[in-house]
Amino acid sequence: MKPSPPRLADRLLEWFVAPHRLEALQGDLHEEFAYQVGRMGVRRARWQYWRDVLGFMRPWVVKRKANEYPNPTNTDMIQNHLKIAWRSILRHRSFTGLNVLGLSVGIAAALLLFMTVRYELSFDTFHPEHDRIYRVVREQFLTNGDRDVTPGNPLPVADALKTDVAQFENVVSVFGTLDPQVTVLGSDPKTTNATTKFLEDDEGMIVGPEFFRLFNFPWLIGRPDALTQPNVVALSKTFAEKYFGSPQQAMGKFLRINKHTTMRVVGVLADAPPNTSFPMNLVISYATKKADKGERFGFGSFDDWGSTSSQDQIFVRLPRNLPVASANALLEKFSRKHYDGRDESKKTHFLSPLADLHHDNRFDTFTTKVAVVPFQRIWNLALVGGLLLLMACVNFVNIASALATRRAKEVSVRKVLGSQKSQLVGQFLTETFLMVLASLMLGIGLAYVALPLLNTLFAIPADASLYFKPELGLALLGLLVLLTLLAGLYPALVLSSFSPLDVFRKRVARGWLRGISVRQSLIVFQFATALVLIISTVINLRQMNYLSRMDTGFSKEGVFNFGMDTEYRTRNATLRNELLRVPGVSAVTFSSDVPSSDSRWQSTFAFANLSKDEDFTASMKMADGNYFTTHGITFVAGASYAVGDTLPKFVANETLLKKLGVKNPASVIGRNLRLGDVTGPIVGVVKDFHTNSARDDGGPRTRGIQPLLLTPSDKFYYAGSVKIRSQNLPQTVERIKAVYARVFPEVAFTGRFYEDALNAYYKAEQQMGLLYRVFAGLTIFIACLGLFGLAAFTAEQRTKEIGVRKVLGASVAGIVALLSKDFLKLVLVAVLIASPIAWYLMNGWLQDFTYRINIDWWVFALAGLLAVSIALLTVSFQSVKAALMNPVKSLRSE
Amino acid sequence: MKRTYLGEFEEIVLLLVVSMDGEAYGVGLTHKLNEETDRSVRLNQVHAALHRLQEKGMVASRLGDPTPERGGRRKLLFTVTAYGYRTLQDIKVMRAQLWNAVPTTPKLAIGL
Repeated sequence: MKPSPPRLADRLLEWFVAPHRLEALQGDLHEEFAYQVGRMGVRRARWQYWRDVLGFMRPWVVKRKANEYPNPTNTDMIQNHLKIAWRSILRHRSFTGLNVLGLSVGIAAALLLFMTVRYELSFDTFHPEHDRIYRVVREQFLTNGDRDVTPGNPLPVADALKTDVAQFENVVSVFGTLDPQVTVLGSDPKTTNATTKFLEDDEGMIVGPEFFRLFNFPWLIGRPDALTQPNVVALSKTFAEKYFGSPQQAMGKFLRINKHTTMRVVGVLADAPPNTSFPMNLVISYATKKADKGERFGFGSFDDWGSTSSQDQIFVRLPRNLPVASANALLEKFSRKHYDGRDESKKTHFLSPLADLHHDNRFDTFTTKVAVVPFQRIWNLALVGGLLLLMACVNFVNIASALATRRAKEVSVRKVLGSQKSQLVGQFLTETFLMVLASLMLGIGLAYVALPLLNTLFAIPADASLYFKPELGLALLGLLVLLTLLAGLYPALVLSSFSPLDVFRKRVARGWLRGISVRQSLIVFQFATALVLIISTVINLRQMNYLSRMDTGFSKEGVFNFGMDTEYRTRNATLRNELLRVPGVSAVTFSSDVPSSDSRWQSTFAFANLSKDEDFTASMKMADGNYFTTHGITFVAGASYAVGDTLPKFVANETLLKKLGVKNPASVIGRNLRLGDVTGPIVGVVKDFHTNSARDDGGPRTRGIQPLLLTPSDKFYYAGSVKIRSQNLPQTVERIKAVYARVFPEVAFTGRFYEDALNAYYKAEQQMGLLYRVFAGLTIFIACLGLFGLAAFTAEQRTKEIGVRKVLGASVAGIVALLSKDFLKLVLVAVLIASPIAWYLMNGWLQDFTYRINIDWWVFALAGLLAVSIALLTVSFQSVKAALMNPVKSLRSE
Repeated sequence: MKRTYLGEFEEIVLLLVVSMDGEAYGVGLTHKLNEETDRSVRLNQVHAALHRLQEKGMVASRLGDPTPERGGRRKLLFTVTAYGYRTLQDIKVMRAQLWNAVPTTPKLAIGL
């Protein structure tokens, strides 16, 4: 067989060579090829062929003869398409309005959601090479089979890593965060009577200069190297201004941190962007912590492998050629070397990517001010955004394909006159494009106006400049094309496929009927989506109501909590006496924790006569004897210890007794308990109250009501609580503040009402509830727009039929029923589909709560009823209009 | 005398077109050119030259007969136009005049 030139090269040639030149050129090339095959063999000839073909890529070869083919930049056709599209849009004004309205609302909502998603995903990604930065976290396999992960590492780990694992590019110790009390001293470090005090909640970090080689937090004044010495601090611009008026004035000035440590300001950082997990407002040098030996800046020592604080974290950067798996293997070896044989539980370190800092709720971040947002929630938002867009497109498809009958004649005439199908599709797509373009612009405007909503709905900054970036423009362009295709392609294909013959013989109905099942399923889809959201909203609202009204076993009303400083505990009694003199204050107590808190202080214990500890731990709360009256906790046996009692005495809760198998609470009164080396009698048993927040991410062990022991110990009184019985709460709080400032002039005061604090626990859930409500409303709105359009269309379609029916004696009610029936059937199907999906989703969500409602059947019935009535309302507007129409008018034209 | 500029390569191609007397086409020209002038010229260069010559009006083209090694495709055959032939002659005359002015023993820059 004769060898042939390479096919691909030939195809390429055929594509780029102008048709009038192709034959001669290709002929020459083939002849040359045949000649070369004889001269140098097939392989090299093919190679030459490729070279020759590529050599022909010249303008004169590519250039077409004038008028040979339509110029692709010929604008006549596009102009015509635009003109026709514009006329058609104007002719169907009301439907266009419905489409644009629905689509722009959908686009606006989707835009806001995608901005949120982008913002959440952007966390901690502004550092150079951020994808190679990892946090060293630790997993511990406990002897009882439990596994425990913590972001913290024992203090010696960082230095050991530097020597043992040379592959890591940087090993950076971070301690975060501090809640320092800051006293502004000014230029004189010895100032004793400084009065400007701030309590900075979650704002302090302790890092060394190497931190800034890994993370991109630019310095405005000074250099990171200044953080090499102990007792120096860098401030953010905002904090420098807050303390000293301006960044320049802050340099070299002095601050007192936590009442005792004097620090010099050696640098000012630019304010950190909002999408960081590191609060970089007050940065203390790591050398301070090293010099301090665990006295004031965290616990533990630099040669103790045994104890861990989750605040001591380590970050590393992997070299480019070291995959995470190999790095983890290195860490595994490292862990074996340092932990094996220390105790019976197995501990191992592994790496967690920096990008997960904001998303992995197994670990703590550095600040409670920005909630950890799990990826799941982000993808849910994206899904809702996508669904909204999809629903808006569905409306479009529905209305456009319904309008198809109206345009059947137009299409047919065009076909008869010689239009290609592709040209018709192009024309309909142009129409869609125009509408999508209008909706997009309207949608962007809406989104811009609604931007502040982001703040309320998702608690993310609503600064427009955060989002309006060049790549958003590109994304919008993509959206324009995508929506045009999504919304326009199906109607365009349906419309352009009409057979002119059928249309002229008035047999369109057959072709149109084919579209009905698609349209019906689209309506069902829309309403099912809306229903899932409605049902979820109702269940979410009920759960939130349930939580806020739930009997927690203690009273929150009028209880005001504030921080205490254990260093000045000798003045606690004075404070109590002074506070009790404030009008409206009926009780005062000091304790380690308020009744329901996130704190997890746990201890093993046993009855004093038994040598072995019980196999479960008790939650501990240190509290004085007024705790029970102040918080409204009731006793089932025994009574509280006295207020001034300092000897070890215990109050247990019912759950603890239940776990011990004790039936009669009175029987344990007076029995001695042993906790570590402390022994004391049980003096009372209280009714159960919630010892933790009802939703706690710490896992089942810490949820709800724990076995609890209370004991007096003023060394641990970090919290003060006051019961206020007064009409004028703000005034009472002011008086409490004044008393506090008099007794503890050294300490900055913070406090808030218990009810406010508890509500903050459920902030994430409440935000989600609000989110559900807004988007449930939007989906219903969009779905109804679609239904409205379709109903209007159907009513119009059947005008003549209605006229005939009326002439023959049909009642208005009968006609309304006739027209509404079809739509109601669809909505009912949607109810049937949506209910199990909603049940499944919400059941999963409720599992996160210790105390939860049951999902009642009536929720589904209610949602279904709601959807049916909204749909009925929407449809009936049109059908009543049609039914009331004078048949003379509709029939006269025939 | 106003003259159309003719490049050296174009001149050779044009000469070959004349010499091949109506049988000149891409591949044939390329092969002949490679043999006669001991150059290694590629097909697309020859085609480009022919295209330029045609644009200048010095050659005309017509489609010839199909041959089997071309897969049944016809050849694009080139013939010189009167204007092309005239240009070649002008060049020849001008060269001859210049040669006449050359002394029999020219001083050559051979660095003696």
